[in-house]
Amino acid sequence: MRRTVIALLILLLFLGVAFLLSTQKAPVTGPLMDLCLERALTDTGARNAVAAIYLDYRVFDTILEALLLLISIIAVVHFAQREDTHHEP
Amino acid sequence: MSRDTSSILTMGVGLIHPFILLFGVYLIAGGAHTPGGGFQGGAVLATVFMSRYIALPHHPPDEQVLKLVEKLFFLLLLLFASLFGVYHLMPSVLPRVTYLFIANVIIGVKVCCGLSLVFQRFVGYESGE
Repeated sequence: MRRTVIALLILLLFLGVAFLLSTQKAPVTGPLMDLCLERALTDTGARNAVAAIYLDYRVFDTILEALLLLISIIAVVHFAQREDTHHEP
Repeated sequence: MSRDTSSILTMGVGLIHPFILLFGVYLIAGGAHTPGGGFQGGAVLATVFMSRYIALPHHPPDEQVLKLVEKLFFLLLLLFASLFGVYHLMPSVLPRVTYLFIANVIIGVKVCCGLSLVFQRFVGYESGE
């Protein structure tokens, strides 16, 4: 019962967020996007503008993203240990 | 021989392994020019370990090694991206495309190890280790 309620709440939240996002008129073009698409190849040598952004223009973001993944994996490994058969420190 | 693996499953996993590997390596290697990149390719490569568990559940990869490799590759990414990405030493020392390629490879290996480690840990937890 409790799990069903939680699942329904999460589903409602998802539908609400999806509805809000679908009604928003987010700009699909802009000066920054044009600039990135125009200059990615000459600036970074990457034909894929996404790679140019995440490995060159926003490389700190990528490093911290990798750190975030590392920390969450360490947390998962730490919490997913059986306490009664814990033989390694 | 282990008791609960069917040979059909083992052979099937063995058959699809090369294609998964090829797809993951393609995503990582072509990350600078085609859709893909280190994170996506690493996630695809991690499915190799997961399907390997389905075929050979009694021969798990060493978790300590995966953990160590992941940490080492994070340090490597930190050093490499700081040296070549931030200070823009690239044109003189290293071509920019090579920088993108190596950074993608580092991220791919790191993500692959991390996701495999999480999967292996969940398997170990569920089987009471």
